[in-house]
Amino acid sequence: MIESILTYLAPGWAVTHAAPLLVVVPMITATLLVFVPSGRLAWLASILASLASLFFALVLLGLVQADTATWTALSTAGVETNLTEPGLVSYALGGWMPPAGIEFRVDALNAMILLLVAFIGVLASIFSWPTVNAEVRSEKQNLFYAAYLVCLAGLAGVAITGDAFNLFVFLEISSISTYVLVALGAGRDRRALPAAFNYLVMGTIGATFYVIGVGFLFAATGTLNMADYTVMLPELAGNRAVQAGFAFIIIGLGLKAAMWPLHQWLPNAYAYAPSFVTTFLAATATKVALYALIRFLFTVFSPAYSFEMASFEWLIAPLAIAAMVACSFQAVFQTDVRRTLAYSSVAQVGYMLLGVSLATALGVSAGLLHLVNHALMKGGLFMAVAGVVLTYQGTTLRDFAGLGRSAPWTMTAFAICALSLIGVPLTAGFQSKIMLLQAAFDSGWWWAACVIVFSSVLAVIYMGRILEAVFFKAPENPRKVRKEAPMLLLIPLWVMALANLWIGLDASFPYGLAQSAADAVIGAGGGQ
Amino acid sequence: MLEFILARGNYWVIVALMMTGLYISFSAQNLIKRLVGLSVFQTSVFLFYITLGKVAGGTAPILIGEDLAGHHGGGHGEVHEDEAHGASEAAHGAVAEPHDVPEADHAPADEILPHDETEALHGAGEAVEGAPPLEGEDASLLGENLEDGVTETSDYVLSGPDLGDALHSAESSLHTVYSNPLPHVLILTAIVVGVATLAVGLAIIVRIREAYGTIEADEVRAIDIDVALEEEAEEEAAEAAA
Amino acid sequence: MNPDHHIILRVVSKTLIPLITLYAFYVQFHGDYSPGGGFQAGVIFAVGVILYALIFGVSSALRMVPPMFTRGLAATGVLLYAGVGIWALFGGGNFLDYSALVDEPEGGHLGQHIGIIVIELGVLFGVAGSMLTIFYAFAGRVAEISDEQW
Repeated sequence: MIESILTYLAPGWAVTHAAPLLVVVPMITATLLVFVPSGRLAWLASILASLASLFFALVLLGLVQADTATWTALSTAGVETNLTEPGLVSYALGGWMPPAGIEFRVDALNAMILLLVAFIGVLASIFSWPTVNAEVRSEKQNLFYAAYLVCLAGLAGVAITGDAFNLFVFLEISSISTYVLVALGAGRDRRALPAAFNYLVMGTIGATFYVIGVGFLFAATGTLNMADYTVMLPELAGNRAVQAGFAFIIIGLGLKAAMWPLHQWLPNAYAYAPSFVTTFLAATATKVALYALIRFLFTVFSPAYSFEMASFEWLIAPLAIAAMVACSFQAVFQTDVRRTLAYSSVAQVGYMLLGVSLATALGVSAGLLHLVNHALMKGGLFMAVAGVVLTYQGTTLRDFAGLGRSAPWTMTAFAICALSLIGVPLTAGFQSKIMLLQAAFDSGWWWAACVIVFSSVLAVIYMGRILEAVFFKAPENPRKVRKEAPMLLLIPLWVMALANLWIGLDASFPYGLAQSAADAVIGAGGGQ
Repeated sequence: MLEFILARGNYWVIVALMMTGLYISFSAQNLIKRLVGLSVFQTSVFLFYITLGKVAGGTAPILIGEDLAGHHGGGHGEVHEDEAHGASEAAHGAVAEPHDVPEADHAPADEILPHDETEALHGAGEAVEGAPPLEGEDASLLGENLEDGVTETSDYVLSGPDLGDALHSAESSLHTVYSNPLPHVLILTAIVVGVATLAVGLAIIVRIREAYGTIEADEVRAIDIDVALEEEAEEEAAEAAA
Repeated sequence: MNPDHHIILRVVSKTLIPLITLYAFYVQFHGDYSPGGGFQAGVIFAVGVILYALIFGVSSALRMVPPMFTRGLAATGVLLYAGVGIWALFGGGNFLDYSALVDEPEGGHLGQHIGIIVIELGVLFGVAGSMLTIFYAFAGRVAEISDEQW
């Protein structure tokens, strides 16, 4: 199916240069938006740029999955694919050959993350107009969309680059635009400003830790290319500079990925940012940082290094479990729906990290599947909340009471995503949690399985409270007439909700992606 | 012992600055002081990289004197991609070399201290000489500076595959010892990132002052709590009335 | 502002500002083959305008270099930079491959020269534009802070 895009849809130049264009198109569009006077035009442009990214992400996925037949078809057509080996696209920027030059390197893992980011980007930018129009002053709207596109380009860049320092640059490009986007929530609630400031301080410390770590690796190996590290680091495993670098990088990226207890920036930033920003960030930002973490754990440092020598399961697994329990408890006691969802996000990061910390192919693919599913369900939930913010101007539990009757379409989609978050059968969440349980049992971690079940029970409580208020309580405020969210918002919301149901019924597509991604990273370093 | 301490002077300064910066950014209640702490912390990392790039006796990585003249004479041979690859790998290998045989009781600082390992690293520093233009494509758009160091010798204006030549000739024919330019380039990029962060941070502080009338973190928190409690009380009163 | 105020500053800066701007371009165009380049030149150029704003007041600086212009300048810079990359794609090279910029025989360096000059120009615009935008964002935003507020 995806191969057909390569052979029929995409022109040759798009296949050859998909990797840089995926990042450059949103970047260029962002700068063009500075000259665009109208917010609506900027919105359309941002949709187009996101669509272009999605297209290039699909092309890259097709290239990574290409079988020999497609490969020969492409080479007979005279298309340069940049495939250095099956399932690995390596694009040398500026024609400088890696490892000296910067390289964009796409394997099954990147391709999946890129597709996720671009897909969420498209849906989020389609849905953004009503909320942005309501929450951002009209003369700032074009700059708002410019910041969003820079953020998108940065996230895609983090996911695509094969150069450790370049990853830092893209990480900061996306982070700095994120601080701006979060701070723009001040128009609705001034608490967005301290939240953005704390996020900035924490995020910068995290990024700087990452740079220190890369500095140590550079000192020990003299290279910045990730593929080079894969080759060189196993020999240097006893080197203390490498060990220090490892620690700094894991902490730095863990901070960006909201790994417990480094998640303090997240709840406030998500709660007070503009609705659109929350939706986009919840579904992509921590996911991309988590991708970088997985990339370093499995590709740069081989699993043998990070998990056996550095005893990593005794650090990441306990932190993951602490996140799953502690943040689920915190979620139960929130009165603001957005804060509940934000704490739940940290808990869900714990699920993904638990899968990763198993360090088996099954565990990692379960973690990755949960990563995709969580992006879909949190994206859907925050979209529904954005609809409520737009029509009813409130996000407390009390504001949600009785909304099931006044906004049935919005709230039904909300309920589907909520059930998926809990892990009810026939939803996406069930598929990934079952897989996680299976992976935990396979490794003999029955206690981890118990925690997964326990945390899911907590999810029943905190999502149950919201659903109860929505469907079984009378609206406390008689002012609330029957008012649905606008169509523009409902369509992407329902795409998300239906995606949750579809994955719940037939998880073969994301499962296949996650499995080949896990094989790609485990296979890369698992040799030793 | 004293020698051990003095030989690592740079690293002590870096550690001291790093800890000072982190402490300020955690402990200060004044938001601007927090940003200052953050900047100090970042600056220590810049120093760390620059120290890494220092080759004992090396000068700034701008070709001078004989090297400049020699390079003007140097021709451009044929283009071999493999050679480029090989050469740059050799460069990497050269840097890694000293660490291939790490001694058990080697202090970590030792292993990242180029000063002591001049011989091996000289070659590396020189070999990497050709590398900077590569990093110039850096998406930060501002990693330009490195081109300066390189384009200086007009023959250094390389197309990709010429790299092999450059690396070879750099290795073979340099008369002066140069520091490794790559960390300088990286840090230029990091400085730009730092400036951007600082600007955004200060802008947010300006907005915080407009919204709250203070730039003390504890006062902002107290205001937020007061407002939240008031709202709570109002809503409860409204409920009771209904 | 009283025109007699700071007369020395005014006279000195009037002679300095053109020199600063000229020096910016010196650094810019020597950055092609010696130390210097767009980043430093951009900062130096911005410093010229900022000095003007400090001496003659932000409002007159705003008239001379309006914020819309600085913002556009920064965006143009990035566009120039990315444009070179795209141009290289049309020339059949990889993204940002300078040697693909012009059609030249093997071993020629014209593409490299053109590429670096345009890129440096993009950096000059980008840095000068964003420095001035940052300056304007802070200057004259809040009324003077009175003593007791500190």
